[in-house]
Amino acid sequence: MIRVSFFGMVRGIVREKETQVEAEGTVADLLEVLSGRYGLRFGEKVLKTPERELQLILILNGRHIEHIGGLAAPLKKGDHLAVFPLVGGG
Amino acid sequence: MQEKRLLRVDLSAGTVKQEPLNPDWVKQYIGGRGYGTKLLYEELKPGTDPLSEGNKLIFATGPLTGSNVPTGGRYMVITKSPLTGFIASSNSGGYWGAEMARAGYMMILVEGKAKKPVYLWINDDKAELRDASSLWGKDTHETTDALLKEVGDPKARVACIGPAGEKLSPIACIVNEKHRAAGRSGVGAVMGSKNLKAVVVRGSGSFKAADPEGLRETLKAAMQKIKENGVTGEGLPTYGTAVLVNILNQLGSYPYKNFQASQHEGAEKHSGERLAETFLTGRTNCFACPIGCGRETALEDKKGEGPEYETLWALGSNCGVDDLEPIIRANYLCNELGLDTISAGGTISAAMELYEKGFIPREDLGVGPELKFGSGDALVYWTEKMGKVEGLGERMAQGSYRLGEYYVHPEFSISVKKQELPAYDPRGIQGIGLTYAVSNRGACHVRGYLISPEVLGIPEKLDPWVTEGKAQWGKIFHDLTAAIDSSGMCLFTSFALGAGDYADMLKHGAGFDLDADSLLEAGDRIWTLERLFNLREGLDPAKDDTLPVRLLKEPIPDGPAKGKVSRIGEMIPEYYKLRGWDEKGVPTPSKLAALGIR
Repeated sequence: MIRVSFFGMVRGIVREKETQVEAEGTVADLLEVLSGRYGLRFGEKVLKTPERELQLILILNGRHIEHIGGLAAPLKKGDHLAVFPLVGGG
Repeated sequence: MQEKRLLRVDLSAGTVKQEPLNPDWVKQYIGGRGYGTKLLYEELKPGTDPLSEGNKLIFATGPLTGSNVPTGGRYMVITKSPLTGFIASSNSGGYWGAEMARAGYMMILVEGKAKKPVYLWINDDKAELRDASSLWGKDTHETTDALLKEVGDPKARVACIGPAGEKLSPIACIVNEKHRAAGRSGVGAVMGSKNLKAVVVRGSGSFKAADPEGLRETLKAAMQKIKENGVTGEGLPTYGTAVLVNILNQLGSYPYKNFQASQHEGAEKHSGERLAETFLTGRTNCFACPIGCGRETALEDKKGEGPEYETLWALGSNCGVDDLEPIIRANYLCNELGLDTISAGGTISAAMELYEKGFIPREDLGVGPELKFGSGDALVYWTEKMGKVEGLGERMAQGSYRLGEYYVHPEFSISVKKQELPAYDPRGIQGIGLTYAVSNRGACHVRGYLISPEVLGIPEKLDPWVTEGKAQWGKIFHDLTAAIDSSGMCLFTSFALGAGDYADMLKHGAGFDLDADSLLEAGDRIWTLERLFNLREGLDPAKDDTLPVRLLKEPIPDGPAKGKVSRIGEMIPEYYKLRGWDEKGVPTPSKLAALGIR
């Protein structure tokens, strides 16, 4: 099982703070499962096209996925994915 | 170019007079932080005691302050800092800066010392010093209300100090419109040392663009970018800065208990998400701001603004406090009494560690609660004592370094150049450590917000754990920030805008002949002049451009960044070289010549 936590506006879309997902493979595979579960509004957030960057900050076990293989980062049992919207501050 | 002026206020003589700006300085240093630094560099006698009559206090707007460019309402306060002994350069938003610009001033230079408390009342061309004896001792909210009543113009804006500034706390800030602060480096104490309680300003002028048509086109493009950007268009408006709590905590770079650890199990309890569900009552915008990151909040008995991310961390996690209520209460106290929230939190956390380790004896606490990590009661009580400069609070109001020094353990002060660190652990985020170490005003995140690429992935995703390439990124961010701070705009626009956008706005808005490269060069010039100021004031780069020993030697004990220490030693030599400084960190004559600095 993969533990997935949601933050910021993403909580408003998925209407929960945390869930457990049975997923194998990569972060991309997990996002696909989540898109299926949470519908179009969540799907739009994770849609990546050449014109549009991923509208999320994804932190897998305390590391931004970009630095551990991006969407191709492999998952293993007990992993924790934190899903944030694009936010900033100072 | 706008025909703005300098207002010279001599408190010793009791005189105010207008002077023209130096057009060469405007060209080279833009305005705001840049022009203010040049002015201080030229006018301040080296070695001046920051709290003496000889220090000068400069309120500075940029050429775009008071204009319709997005976020064009910022001002800066530049002086010699009583906290660091080096340059102080604090930025604030709200509406006060725009009002000052509309009254026709780019600079207000305050010198000397008034014999008794006074305030400065500026009403367009007219400026006068008025008695403020009855306001001395009052907090910033009482002072603001009283002054608005006294000048009789509800549209006037008030920037003032509270008891902390009056009593010369080197972590005292200047507060405008009750909730916005030129926070860092003790600028409020300099105001207090001059017996200047407040500056009240009303301006009726309007901004005239150098090229209205060109500016209209530029603004259209800039507004579109701000609207479409995930951070400025959605993230900041919805959650404000507080949404960062959970992100930094997830990364294990959210300092806990005075940087003894860097992940806090109770962080969710004071996160932006929790704030939105509980004490949040609304959001606010500063002048001309399309983003609106400000938060209105209310407790049962009080209301106010904030806390911002930095404050949630400084008064929360850094003091081991989970819950929002005491953090919000302490944040309100800081605003009312006139304390910088980052330094206040950093000082209380140092005091907690000193107390828990037995270096502050119980009897020094008087009747106050024990300084224990996690105690909301202690947080609120000691914030108030510090703001009122009473009891042990008098010693705490000196900031964490002097407090630690008094108790013979300054190593528990997590500070650079005696200024407390902000809310990102430089052991888990390497580049921001470089900014902390070399920042001319002491530890600071907004001199070059490398959190943007290292955590948020803007404009590129940089790995926070590596040092490679960070010196280059640091220099670009430092130079761009210096230019933005000199323009009168808010740094938050830089999530969406680039150097070319700012150059275009300065060009069409205020007649500057700038492009992206020459804008960054102006930033380089400003940063370098700040460095020259510090060197003249005795900066020793080998000793001062560094981080606290804890962050260099004590690895993060647990969490995702477990085992990490800061490796600034890998970045600083390259950074000096990129700046055109010698290996000791001193700008070379050829670099100074290239920048046109005499």
